[in-house]
Amino acid sequence: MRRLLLIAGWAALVALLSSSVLATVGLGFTPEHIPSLAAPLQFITGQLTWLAPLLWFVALGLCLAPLIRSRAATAALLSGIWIIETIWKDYFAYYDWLHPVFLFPTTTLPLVGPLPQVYYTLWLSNRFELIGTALVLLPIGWLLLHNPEGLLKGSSEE
Amino acid sequence: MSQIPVFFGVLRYEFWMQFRRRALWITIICFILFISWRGFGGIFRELIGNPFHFQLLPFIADWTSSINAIFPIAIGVLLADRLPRDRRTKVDELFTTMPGKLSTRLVGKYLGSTLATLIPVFAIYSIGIGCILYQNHDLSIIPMALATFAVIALPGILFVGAFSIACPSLLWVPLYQFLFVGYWFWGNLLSPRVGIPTLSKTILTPIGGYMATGFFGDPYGQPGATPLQGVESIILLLGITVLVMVTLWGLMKWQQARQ
Repeated sequence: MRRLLLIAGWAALVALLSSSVLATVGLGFTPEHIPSLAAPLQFITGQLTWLAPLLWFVALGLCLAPLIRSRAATAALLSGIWIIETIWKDYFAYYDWLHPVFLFPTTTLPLVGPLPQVYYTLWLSNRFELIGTALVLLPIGWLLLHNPEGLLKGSSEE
Repeated sequence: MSQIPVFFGVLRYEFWMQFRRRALWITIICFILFISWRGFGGIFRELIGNPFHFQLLPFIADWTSSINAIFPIAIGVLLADRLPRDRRTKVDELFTTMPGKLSTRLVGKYLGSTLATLIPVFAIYSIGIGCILYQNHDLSIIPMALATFAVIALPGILFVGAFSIACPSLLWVPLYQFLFVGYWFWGNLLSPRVGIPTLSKTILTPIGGYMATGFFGDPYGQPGATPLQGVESIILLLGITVLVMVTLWGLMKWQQARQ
């Protein structure tokens, strides 16, 4: 769990720093609410662009690794999800039932700059759905980690 | 000692070791689930439902290209730990005491593990071909399907396999896997129109668009590609594959000499 926090925290720090630099030089790639929110609130909401998929991937990876018992397979599956979500972005945008697992609408559609209220609300609800799913998966992953027999078997099955 | 039995021994052992790996099958099954619910209820329904709207050969080539766009990610990631595994399980030093040459072992490992990883991918490819066959009742589909797979998918898969066996001898396996997936998107799927310099749409793309369009007329591969460009792409991919394996052999020989 400590290793997970270290990796996720490090990734979050890099993302936060780089998005701060981009926002400072006026190259921010985040959606904006109309009418304009206060600048700090706008910045904080914009961070959901990377925070939601980061948490989702961390939580899913945490669940998959002890279930599949293979680092390579887990890496392949997470990579597959990333590539498929990027290639078939239009399907994810088109079907309502896929919206809660649409990871990258901000960059792939893209949803950046000033957005009409309806799109902004869709984007924001998608972010909260992803974070919600991650918050459900995290305790499941934590429980799966408390299976020493499974973890030991997994290390020999790699 | 003749190296031929050593080669086949290594190939057989590596093949079964990878083929019996649970992770391989779980990954491929999950990939099938990912692609199956694409669009209006899945790719297979598309294959059964619409074949008459397409010419047969370009349609089969397009199915091969669809397989070759996604599954090499799994192949590359799953092959990445084959060589470091020898080091982790501490059998690499044991191998050096045996009469088999390093080059024989490397080629056997490469071909055996790549072939085993290819089997489930070929199985899912064959199910798609079975759907087309079921709808068209034309047995000439089978040789066509074998030809498209050998020409479009195989060079790219051998290319990916060689890098996935060789690069982790220098790089940490998770780092290689991360870089490989990034490369697959950047060098194969990212459109040059985005403005980021990319290898995508060049003859150095293992995704096989030049072969799909150049030889089989797939309209979605690489529009405007000629058969000659398809041949160039195959030669380039296979040439680099050989170069990578020779470089790996040289590197490991050098590492052995330093021990």
